[in-house]
Amino acid sequence: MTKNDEHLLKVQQLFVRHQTQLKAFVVALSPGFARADDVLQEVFLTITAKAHEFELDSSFLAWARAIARFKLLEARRASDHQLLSPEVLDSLVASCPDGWAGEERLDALTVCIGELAPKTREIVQLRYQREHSPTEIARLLDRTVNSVNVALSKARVALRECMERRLSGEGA
Amino acid sequence: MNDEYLDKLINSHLDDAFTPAEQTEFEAHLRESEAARQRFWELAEVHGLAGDAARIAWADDNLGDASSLPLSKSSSQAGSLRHGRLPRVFASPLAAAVSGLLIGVLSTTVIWAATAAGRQELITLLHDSFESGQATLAENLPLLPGQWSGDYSEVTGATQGVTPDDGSNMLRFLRADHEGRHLPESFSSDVFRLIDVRQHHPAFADSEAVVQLTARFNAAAFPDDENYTCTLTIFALDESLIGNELLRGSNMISAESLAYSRSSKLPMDRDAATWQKLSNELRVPPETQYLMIRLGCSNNTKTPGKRRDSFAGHFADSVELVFANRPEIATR
Repeated sequence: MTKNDEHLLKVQQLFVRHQTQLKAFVVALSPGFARADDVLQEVFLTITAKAHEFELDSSFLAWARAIARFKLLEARRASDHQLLSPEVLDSLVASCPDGWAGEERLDALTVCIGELAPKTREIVQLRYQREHSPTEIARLLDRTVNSVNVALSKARVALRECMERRLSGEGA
Repeated sequence: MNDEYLDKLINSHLDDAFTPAEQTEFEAHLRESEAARQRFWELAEVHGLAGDAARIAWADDNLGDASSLPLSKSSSQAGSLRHGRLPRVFASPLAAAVSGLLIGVLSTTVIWAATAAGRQELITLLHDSFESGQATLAENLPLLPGQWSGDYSEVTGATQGVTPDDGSNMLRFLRADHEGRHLPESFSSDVFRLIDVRQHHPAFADSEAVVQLTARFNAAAFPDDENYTCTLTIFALDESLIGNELLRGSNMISAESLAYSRSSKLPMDRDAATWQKLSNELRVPPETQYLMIRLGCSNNTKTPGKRRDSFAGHFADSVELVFANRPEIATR
């Protein structure tokens, strides 16, 4: 293996290590799981192509997020779908908190999700495990789209609160 | 604007359910208010992580109970394509090596592989590096999904100079028999896992579905006069066999399966520092509803009188079962 190959492999290893955070970042900014997949794939390919530009002692996450931002803008230009405007995207990227979607936070959310009551669990499973849209969930469960949206909104708020409780040590 | 209305706008964004007017309003709030941006990241964090969190929290449901969730025919394949603990690895030729570094992957993942010829969808049905620490069972082959069972084995950390290939755990083969059945003449230790693939059934309808089983094997140093080989087997089963004790009869699974495929025998080397990779494939019959996989380790020592029914230091790790559509070889 050449030095360049070793460097590339290390960069790709960093991608794997930060994949959860990067995926969450892209999913948050580019609604629609399939679209986010495509963007994340492009991020990986660009990271691979530009690996030689990355210095291993610098912040991989910051570099990868900058590439993700660029890919999101590219996706916006190529899509007729309404995606966030460049100005808003930049203001959001700039305000992304430190440690956002890190491993510790994923662990806390995992515990919280495991504790969901059956009805909420069903909807969360359909939305996040099956990746159905609220419209599809409404059809599958014979409910109105509005009621599914309300349930998902409540679930997210509840999960957020639970996550914060756990991270502060209250619910651990 | 009250918090509740901002939350509604954020949730509409996350669910890709905006009207144009709402989008304009949403963006205006985000432009003007740092508090709104912070609230966005709060709710978006749950949204962004929930997929991975759900798959970890309900790991057993990935292959089991989740099949009972409502699943429309039209969306079943698309839905199943979205599973993933570390859901999508995007593979360039070198990134194939990276996929071996997915530490702690406990459950179903999806891999989109970018190839020179285009993108091929790979659905990972199982990726297990034994990181859950869940004990294996010695109850002959499993009758239900989600559990390793077979001959005596254990999940262990690094031992005897062998370090797990992935993460901190690996499977160790112990004996060539199981609870309630002492078989001193046996020389093969087999560990099985049943995988529910009913949710992927529509994808098996044509003859292009191929599953590939990969695992890595290693052994602590063993005497020169001893020889060991490993094999991987895939059995395609229909639902009628699931839970049926008869399946545990000698050679019954190969006789009753819709199809099965056994790999070539991989001779184990004596280098505890390296893991040997073994793969096997099976073209999946359309009726397939479950797959049973078998990791086998055989003591092929020919020394007369030497017992071969126990294993001193033989290991497996990084078990992965994927499927993809691949056309049959064209012939006239």
